Amino acid sequence: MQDQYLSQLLMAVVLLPLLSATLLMLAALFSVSLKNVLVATLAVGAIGGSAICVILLNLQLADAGNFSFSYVYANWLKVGSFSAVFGVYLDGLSLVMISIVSGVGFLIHLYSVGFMAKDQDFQRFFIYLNLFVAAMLVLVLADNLLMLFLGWEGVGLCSYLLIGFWHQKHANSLAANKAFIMTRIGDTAMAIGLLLLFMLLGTLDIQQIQLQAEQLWPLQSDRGPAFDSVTICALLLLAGAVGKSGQLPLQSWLPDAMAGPTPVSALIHAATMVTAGVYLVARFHQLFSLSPLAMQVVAAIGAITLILAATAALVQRDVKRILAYSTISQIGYMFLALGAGAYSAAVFHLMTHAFFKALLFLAAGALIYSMQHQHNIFRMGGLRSKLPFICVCFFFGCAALAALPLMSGFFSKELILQKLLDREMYGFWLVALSGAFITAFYSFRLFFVVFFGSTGQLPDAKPTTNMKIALSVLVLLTIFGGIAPSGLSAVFAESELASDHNLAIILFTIAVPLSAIAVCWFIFKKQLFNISIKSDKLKGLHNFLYSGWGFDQLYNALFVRPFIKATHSNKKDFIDSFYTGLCQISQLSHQYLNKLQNGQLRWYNASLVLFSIAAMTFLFTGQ
Amino acid sequence: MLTELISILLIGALLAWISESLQLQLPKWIAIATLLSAFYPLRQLLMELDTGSMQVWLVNESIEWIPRFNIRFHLALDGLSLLLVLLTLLMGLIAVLAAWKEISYKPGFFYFNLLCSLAGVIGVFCALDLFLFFVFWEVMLVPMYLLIAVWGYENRRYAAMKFFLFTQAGGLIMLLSICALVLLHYQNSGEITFNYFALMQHQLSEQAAFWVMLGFFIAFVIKLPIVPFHNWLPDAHTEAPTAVSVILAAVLLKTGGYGLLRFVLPLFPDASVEIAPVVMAIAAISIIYGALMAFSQQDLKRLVAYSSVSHMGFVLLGCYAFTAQAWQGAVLQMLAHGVSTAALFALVGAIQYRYHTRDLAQLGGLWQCLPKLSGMLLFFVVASLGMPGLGNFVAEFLVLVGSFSTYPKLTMMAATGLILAAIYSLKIAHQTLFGTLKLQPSIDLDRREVLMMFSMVVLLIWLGLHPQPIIDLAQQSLNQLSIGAKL
Repeated sequence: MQDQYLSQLLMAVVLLPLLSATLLMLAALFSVSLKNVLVATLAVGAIGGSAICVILLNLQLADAGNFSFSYVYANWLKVGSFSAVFGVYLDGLSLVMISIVSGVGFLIHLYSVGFMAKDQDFQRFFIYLNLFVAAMLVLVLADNLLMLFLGWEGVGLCSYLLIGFWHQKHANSLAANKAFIMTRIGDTAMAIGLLLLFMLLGTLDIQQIQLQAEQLWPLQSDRGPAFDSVTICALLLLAGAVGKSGQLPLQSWLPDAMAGPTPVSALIHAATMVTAGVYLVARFHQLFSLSPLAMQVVAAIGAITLILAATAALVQRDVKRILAYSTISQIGYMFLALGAGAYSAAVFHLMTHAFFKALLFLAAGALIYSMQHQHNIFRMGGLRSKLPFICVCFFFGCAALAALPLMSGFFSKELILQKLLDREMYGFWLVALSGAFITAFYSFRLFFVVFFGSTGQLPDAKPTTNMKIALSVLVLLTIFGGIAPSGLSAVFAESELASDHNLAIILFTIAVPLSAIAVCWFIFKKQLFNISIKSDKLKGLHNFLYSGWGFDQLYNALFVRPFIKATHSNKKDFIDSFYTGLCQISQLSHQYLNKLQNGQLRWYNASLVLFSIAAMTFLFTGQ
Repeated sequence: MLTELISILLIGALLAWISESLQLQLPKWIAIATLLSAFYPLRQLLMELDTGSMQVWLVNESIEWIPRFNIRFHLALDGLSLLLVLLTLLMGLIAVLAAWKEISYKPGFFYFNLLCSLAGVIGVFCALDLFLFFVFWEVMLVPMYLLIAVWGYENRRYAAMKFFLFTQAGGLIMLLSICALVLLHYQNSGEITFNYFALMQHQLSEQAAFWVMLGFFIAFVIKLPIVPFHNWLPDAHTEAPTAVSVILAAVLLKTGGYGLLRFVLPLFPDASVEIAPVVMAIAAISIIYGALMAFSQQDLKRLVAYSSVSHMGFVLLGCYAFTAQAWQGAVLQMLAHGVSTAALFALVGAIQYRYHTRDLAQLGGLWQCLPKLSGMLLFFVVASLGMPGLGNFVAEFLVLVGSFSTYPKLTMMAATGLILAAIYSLKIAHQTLFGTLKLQPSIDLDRREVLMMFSMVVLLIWLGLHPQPIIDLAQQSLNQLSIGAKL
């Protein structure tokens, strides 16, 4: 009885946005023109419906402690020993994920109705956005890897479509291509991981894979990190996660992805899709736990990325690029936590990050909306009196990002730091702490430059009501959302060790962001943020950081240009020259043989004699 | 039933030709009517089809033809053939719709050739007498040559000649192989026969089997086509009119894959197993080379043609992995590629019809004035880069799953084709649909075109989300392969 109820709810959660997207698409195809109000009602209503279903699910499962629910709706394909189904798997982890996706997704849909109101492609926008939510829900609910891959590529496609949404601009389309192709590289590695897992374990069911992996490759603590099959599987999956989540070395697409409309950046490139990699690793935590080497790689990638992106965020001028680098950096924290085995801390940070980063992006969207599409923070200034509502939103968003006490971001980041200490990973702890310093610094650099100081450009529009509603709810979530979801620790079977909470250390970690803000205020007062740099060395450093450590230049030189050069050098297809050569040879031989047939008797005579001599020589010498 | 089917197409072809003198609009209606009525003989079979309790051969017709050499008019249909026959008829309809406004010069003779070629293809998919098979092989080629040479674009003579020479060379080698096979069988048993089943029973010596197999193999991989025998394809596609490109991509290439599955693997199982590693390597090279070539092209049709080379590499990869998944993947790839590439060619044709250019440098920003056409083009571009949920992904994934256990390195090489596919596919979208509009606005897809495209969208989604009926239908035929290969 309950199973049926749950399965129907879950089906509705996924199908509602899909249905709405399909209807809107068919209407566009068959030239049924719909008013914007109708489009908005349908699209937002569908996500709202999903969100309500998710709330019902939460209520239903509120009392269940350690639950897991799986249901198979239909067969997808079955060939010999290979089979894949359309099935869902719901546990604490996927419940948290669908709550974030449908909840934040709903708020962002609501916000977009105002933000996109004047856009002539209103309907197309909501088709893509609905489709994205559906694909994301498939991703987090899938019970097997093939279906997960369906959602995985689906969100990638929607991300591509939405980055290039304003397609008239060449650069947007290029940014979309870059995002798709770079993530595709990771996805292909992940697909190979799927093949390998199926070959070794004979199944693609996620729970089955991990059960069998635990039996087949038990963790041997005495052996240390080794490059064995479970490590290869884990690393291949990790490659997919790294691509999707904008981590080193596939991180450079994400800043460019800001070419899309700002609600898209909030939904896809901050709150949901880019955290899919974190979800993937968390979902496969049993598999990853079997490989110490893979865990170390995850932690190292997270640590390097978090510093890389945070330092890059320090010098950006475009408000969306600051937030984009900050997203990369925060996901770096999540990867670090995953690598440390603190899965629930990682997912907790994923959740709070979804709240405050969605808030920051939507607030940035409202800011850009009010400022005639101005992105450069140094053209703004002193806006706290002109745009008080947006200022409040930014304040709470930045405070949570900087992990100031009592904000949601504080609890999750604090938990990550705590777990790093518990596991005696002091090096990583230091990295994370210095990352926290830089984070607080760049977030308040943004806040001070935009809202304090001398007045720059003046706003000419005010955010609409639905934008304000969405922002207000997100402010509340940002402040009060710091309650760790209860179901998580059961999923990850983490022992709640009463770690000794050293008060001195906690105070220290609180002091770090505060001191960063103080330094930031000091520099801001001295007006040092926007000065032109004189020294060559400093300029070099600035450019290095500004370009995100020069990865674009590196990849262009290493891959893009050689690829284009190599392919274009063989534009005419060298194999064809063999056939044209054949053709020429036959034409030439035709020409020469033709000359023999010239009607002159002496030629014929001579050739007859020559042939007879040759034939006789052959005959006599042959014996 | 199958004889009826082929006769309907041939009679329709004649009618279309004759009707030209009455009214120039008549031939295309006759062509549509012919293709629709071609489903009529199949009605009972399709309605009573039950994949659960299916025999291998659904239809088996054999009439005496040339008794002197014991050549029979032997047509038969199993699940694999049925799928390809249905694909042929459906894509035939699409081709006629694609030609609807484009062909005004001698339409009667055009549709005559088109229907004859389709009849030949269906014959190829059903013939179980090797001589008859060869006859149909030629029946499909000659009209094709005329279609390209008469109704093609600027450089059509060259392209048509190239097409003809390549396939004819393959056909000749195949004919030699057929003769050799029949003679060897005659020496052994004293009985002349071209019968498929009789020849399958026959055990050849290892060396003889290798050479005879090679003859068939080369003929079929030229048709697929596979690097380094692919050069006829870009030229033929570029110069062929839209409808012919549709037929060429959707159906004609599949005769190559079908030939491998129907003749090469069952007739020469041991020799096939032996050369499998080499063939797998060639297939992987083909996938990558085709994709790289596609990326470097400036002509939209050439780009799609090279992408076909890449995609058909997966068919070859699937055929020679000798696993159930890979074979199913190969069959699905033939169907999915048939639909998606036919749609791409139809859309490129629609662009060419409006703007008289296929040059990527001249196109751009089409979404601004042709949103429907652009949306459709984007859909099929996405299908061709292997998006899960659409047919091409299921096919390619099954091929990879089936090949990975025996050839992990080559499969990984082939899998990089997925990245390359994304690169060249997005290049299509980027250079035609996005950016600033460089051309005059034109009218968007009309109802005929929307209907045609939409039906292919539905087909691809169906193949991607619910391929099981097709898998079941082909299963019996593919089981025969594993029995032959003693797996």
